[in-house]
Amino acid sequence: MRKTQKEMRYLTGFMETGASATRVAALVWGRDEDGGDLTFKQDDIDLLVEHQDHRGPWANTPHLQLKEGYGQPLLCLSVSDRNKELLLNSKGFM
Amino acid sequence: MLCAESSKVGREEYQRASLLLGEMSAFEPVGVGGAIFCTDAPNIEDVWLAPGSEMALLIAKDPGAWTRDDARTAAANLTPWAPLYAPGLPVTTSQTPKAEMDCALTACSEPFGNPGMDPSRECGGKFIPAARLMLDMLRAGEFDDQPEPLVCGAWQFMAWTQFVQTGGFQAAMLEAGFLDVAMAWLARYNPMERIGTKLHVPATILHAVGDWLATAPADLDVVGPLMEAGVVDLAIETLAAYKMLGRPQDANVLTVQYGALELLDTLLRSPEAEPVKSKLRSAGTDAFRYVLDHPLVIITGKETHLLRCHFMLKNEHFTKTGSGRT
Repeated sequence: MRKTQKEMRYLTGFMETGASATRVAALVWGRDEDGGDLTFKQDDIDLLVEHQDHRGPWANTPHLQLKEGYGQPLLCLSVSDRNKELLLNSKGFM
Repeated sequence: MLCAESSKVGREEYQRASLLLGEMSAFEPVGVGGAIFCTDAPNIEDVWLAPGSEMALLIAKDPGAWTRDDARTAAANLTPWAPLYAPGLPVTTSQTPKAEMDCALTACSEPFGNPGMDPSRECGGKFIPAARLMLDMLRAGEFDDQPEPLVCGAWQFMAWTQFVQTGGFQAAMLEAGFLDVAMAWLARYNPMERIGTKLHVPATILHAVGDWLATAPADLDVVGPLMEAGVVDLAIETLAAYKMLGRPQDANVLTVQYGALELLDTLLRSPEAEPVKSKLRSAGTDAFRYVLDHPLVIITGKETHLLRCHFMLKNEHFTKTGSGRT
């Protein structure tokens, strides 16, 4: 039962624009201290972490296998102190 | 009618009936979604599989020997899809007895190319000549005076035939001018026309570009051609139009995903990332904050173990063939 619920969480939002938008935003503004011009919200980060999770369905998609570049958005976010806090607050990130 | 043998429903009538289905899909996508995925009457799979039909004859024919009329027949067969994807499959499959993901997988079993990336259906370069023919017809203006659903069908053909992993399909299409023709066609529409769901051609062109990009092998230079084509400005215009529209429910999800986010995601991981970042920063953050706060869904994938199995299968195939982009 627990496994089913977990899989369901990973498998929702398969192809939607939210995680894609956060990924792009992280690549552009993610390193900025204090969010820079674009302030990330906890929800943005949670969605990104969920989609970047190598245990989730995205890891099984051919275009997002765990390869070079896969973790770039998360890496960018981890440079900024404020965004780093959001990452650490995100369940599953560690 | 679309399942009837060709002796009863010939080419011209088949094309007209297919086009009518496309027109109906644009008019009432939820109703057509319910009909083509139904389980108590002939559905879209029956159309593809009916023996002796005009479709069966076309599928049996070598795509390298297709005529222009064959290409129009293939395009006619693909007319219903663009309106079904425009608001996202959760909307347009809401009246079907099948689960949404089953509908998505059904669509992946269409006969031209291999959009489901099923290793057993890998067709390599088989459809390259047909795709080039379709591209030549689009470039030469042979679709200019055709009904909008037929034009969508032509671009849908360009999208779904890309889904192969061997045969150099994506390189062949790039060499044939695929990106140039796509951008020339897109230039016919302003950003608000592209973002809306009243016209389906621009989103279907972007769908084709997105599928080309997603399936291009890692050793094919896509970044140079994309930059040269001016897709950064296109993406910024798309995001601005989405915000200006102000009604996410009236926006075409394919335009947002393929006409902005997928393009930027590719370029921002490339050697051209810095100039792209500069342009995005100069454009401001309002439009980006809006797209973050107003996500759209193409497929939710809630139905699940099927999806996981499907992509695990694909992944295995990619691993074996060493293809696919990061």
